[in-house]
Amino acid sequence: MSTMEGGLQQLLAFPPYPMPATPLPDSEYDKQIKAHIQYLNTIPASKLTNGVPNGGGDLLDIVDPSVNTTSYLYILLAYISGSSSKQKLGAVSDSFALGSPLWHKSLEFMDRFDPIQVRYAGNEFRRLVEAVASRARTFSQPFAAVPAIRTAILRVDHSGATFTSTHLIFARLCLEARAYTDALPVLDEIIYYLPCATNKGAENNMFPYLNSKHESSSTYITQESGLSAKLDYRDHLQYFLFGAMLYMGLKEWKKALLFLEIAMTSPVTNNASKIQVEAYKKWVLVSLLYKGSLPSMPKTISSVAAKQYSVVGRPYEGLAAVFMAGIKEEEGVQRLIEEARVGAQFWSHDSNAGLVSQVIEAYRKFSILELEKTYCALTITEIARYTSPDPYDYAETGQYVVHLISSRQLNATISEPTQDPATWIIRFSDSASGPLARSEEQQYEALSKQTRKVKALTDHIKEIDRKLSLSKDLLADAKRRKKEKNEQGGNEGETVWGRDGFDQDEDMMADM
Amino acid sequence: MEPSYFVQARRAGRVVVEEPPKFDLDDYISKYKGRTRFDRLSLIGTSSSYLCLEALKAAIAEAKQGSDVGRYESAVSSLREISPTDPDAILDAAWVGTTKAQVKRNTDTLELELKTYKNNLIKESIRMGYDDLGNHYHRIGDLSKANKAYSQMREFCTTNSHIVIMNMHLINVCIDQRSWFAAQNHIQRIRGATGGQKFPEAEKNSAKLAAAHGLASLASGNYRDAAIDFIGTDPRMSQAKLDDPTDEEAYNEVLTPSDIAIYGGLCALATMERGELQERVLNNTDFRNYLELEPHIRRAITYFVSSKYSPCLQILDSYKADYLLDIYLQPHFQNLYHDIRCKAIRDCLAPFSCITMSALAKIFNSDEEAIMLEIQQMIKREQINARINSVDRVLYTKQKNGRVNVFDTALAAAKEYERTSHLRIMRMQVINAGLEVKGDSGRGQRGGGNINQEWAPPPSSSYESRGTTGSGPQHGGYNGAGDLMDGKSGTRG
Repeated sequence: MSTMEGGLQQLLAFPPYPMPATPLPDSEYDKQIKAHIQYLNTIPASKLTNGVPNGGGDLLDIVDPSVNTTSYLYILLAYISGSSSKQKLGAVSDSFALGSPLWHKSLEFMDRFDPIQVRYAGNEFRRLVEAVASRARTFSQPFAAVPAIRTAILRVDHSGATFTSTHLIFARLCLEARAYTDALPVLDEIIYYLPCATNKGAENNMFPYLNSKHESSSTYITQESGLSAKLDYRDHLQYFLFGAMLYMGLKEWKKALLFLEIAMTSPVTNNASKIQVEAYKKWVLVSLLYKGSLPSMPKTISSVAAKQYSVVGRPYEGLAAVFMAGIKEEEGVQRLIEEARVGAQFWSHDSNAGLVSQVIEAYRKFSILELEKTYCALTITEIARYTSPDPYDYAETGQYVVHLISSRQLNATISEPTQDPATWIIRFSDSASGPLARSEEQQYEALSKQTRKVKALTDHIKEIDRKLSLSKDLLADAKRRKKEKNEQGGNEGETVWGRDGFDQDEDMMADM
Repeated sequence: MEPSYFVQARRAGRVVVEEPPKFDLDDYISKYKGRTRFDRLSLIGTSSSYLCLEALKAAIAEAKQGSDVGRYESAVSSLREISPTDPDAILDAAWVGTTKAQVKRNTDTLELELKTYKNNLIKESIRMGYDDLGNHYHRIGDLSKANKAYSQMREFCTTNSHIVIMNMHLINVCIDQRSWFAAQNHIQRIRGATGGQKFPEAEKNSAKLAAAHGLASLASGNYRDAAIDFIGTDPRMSQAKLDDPTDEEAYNEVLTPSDIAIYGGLCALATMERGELQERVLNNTDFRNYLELEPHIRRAITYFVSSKYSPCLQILDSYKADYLLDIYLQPHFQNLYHDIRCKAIRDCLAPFSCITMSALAKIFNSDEEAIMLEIQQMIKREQINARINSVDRVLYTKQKNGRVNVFDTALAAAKEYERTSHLRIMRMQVINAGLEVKGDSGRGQRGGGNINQEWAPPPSSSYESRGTTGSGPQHGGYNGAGDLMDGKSGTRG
């Protein structure tokens, strides 16, 4: 191709235009797009940024990102890396500034690209996302990239079930931008898969074409696809730690706990990671905030890691012990404040001072919730006597209780015979009555929602099971057993363990 | 006027009994024989402000009849603290001197004899030699040596009855040593699992064995086991003649049949439900023999069974001083009493959905404030399932709404399942993707300090409490997220 005229036609060659009456079969589509990308790889970047000769204009204005996604992506990248520094990866042109036309084109692309085509250009797509993110950070405006990257993640994988390096980039941007709510659409999707080295031979037979409909995003987002960078053990740990922190920003303690637990329970070969230790420290505090007590460590944590958590997290465990003992013994908050003061340097060193001060605030709430176990009705004066900072400030106590009830943290009703708060009576309700009680319909709705969730979970488990049964280790093991069986066959007869081996062998074959 | 000794004792957390007990000290102590007489007198002397002088003087007299110098000295020093001017409070140095010399002489003779027997290699003589030596050491209060001497008899026992004798000795020494676990071990050696005895020779000791086992259970706080042991005691001991030292059924070097009734009755009251009390205690023809010796216990149990809690507790209250001055009951009576009271309150609440505090106070001889405090404690310890309406002063027992509960538990179970499955899946995925945390195991914890500079903790402190105006921390640090124990960053720094 000597002129760009001819080049333009080739750039627009895929997908075929006009659309064929019947969509291309998967195999044909696969063949064509692969050839197209091979072609794209041969064009020097300078050609792509030169535009169409004879005043034909900028290629970015001519190519439609939603149709000719791959071509558009290559052109964008050529502009971003700058025409001068040819194919140098990672280089970013100065013209790619926040608010520049190129910037807007990049964001627009993330909104409009064809999610099927990018599966074939995973590395290039990731380069674009990374360039956008790093630009936003160099300009100290992390939020500028948040909505676009969020859209991109969910368009590539609408189930959001497979973790990618982009997830980590996104979570970090959100945290820096304090964009807690904006992070939720991605965070709330449950991660079931980490891209792993798959057994190519087996997987390619089952899912030969990237463009086909995939039941699970984990079969097209793989280590080879380029949609995620090669992961390091720190990546997913950090994602779950950051995610937990985003949830903490929204006081979504329960979800934060789950994320922290994922990080804490992540398997460890020798020693725990510093990231996990940070997660443990926060887990202690968030447990207090969510439940008012510290549960025992999850059992799946290895004993070595558990010990390390305890050693490094001792000041936190001490704080939790004071918190729980105080609630149980109906003590005032003073001891907890004192304990928090003594450990002040720990909290601020770990950037947990904010959480600790919230723990101190929560002490009062859990003190009142504790009363619920013993009493079904109490006067404000009694609540003030047991739990208030000033045991004679009935008006303030009354307000606090009203606040707890109206924010749905306390299942109780309040009766006010007179204006004087000292005469108010609090009646704690049980789960079947009171303002927080659920009606039959609500109960049913909650149950069926949960049923749907468990069903979805079961589907994922099936997929994971299938993957595991194809994993190299398992197949190698099965081969070894088969070999042993053959070698043993006949002359030794059936020993007891040999029999076991055979039985499993049979099952393996059936699976394959 | 209470001696200052008891003020201090109370401050130190020891039991002090002011009320006079129902028993007469002379009568009481005459029922026992052997070392327990002194132990009991000494305990009464140091914990009853009413009987202290009488009991301690008796204890001193008791000690002087024996040859255990140590306990004589301790009794005299206790008396001196309580009443320094008492003539008995002066140590009889002459007696101490002669007794010590005599004890030494005896020890030497017995050791020598044993040596001779050993040289002669006659098993029976050696066994007897150890037996004598053990008895001697037991008498003079050297319990560990007594235990050793008795234990050494084992290889020279030739008949089953020898083994039984040896173990009975060991049991008694262990009880004196308060080694309850060892005592139970020795009991098990000669006692079958199902109440029968391993050796026919042990049959005549069956009552003693059951009582000793019960005592060990009581002392270790296993009240229910103790109750079962005591109420299962063979009735043969109940008619023992306590004043006749040759009566082989008597076990009053440890406890009397009346004690069996009291210990067994109290433990049963504390740990058994009403039906069980009727069935296993009151209708128990064997145990009835003992209960008849202590009719007040029988009455208390009968009242409890017929839901008359107030008179039942009244009886226990009126005998409180006696129980607290008992050597084995003293450390446990408060617990037992508390358990009985809790159980009474629980049983009493069972038929009600709500009950006023004043009614409750009336049933349990208490005032409203005290009973409310007690109920609060019980709810906190989860001993009763009820809630207090402190406005109307009514106690409501918790009504279970079955349907709502089933919904709630089902939902909670499903959520828990989802959560744990997810956690397990993530673990599997991490392993499958080869993303386990890899650290340098050789470096130990030294590296931890270095990493902290590498890895800036995330800016979590910004939530709510602190303003969001602060210039965000440096985030570049995350990239260097080091391993906790990874030594590499240390070498770089």
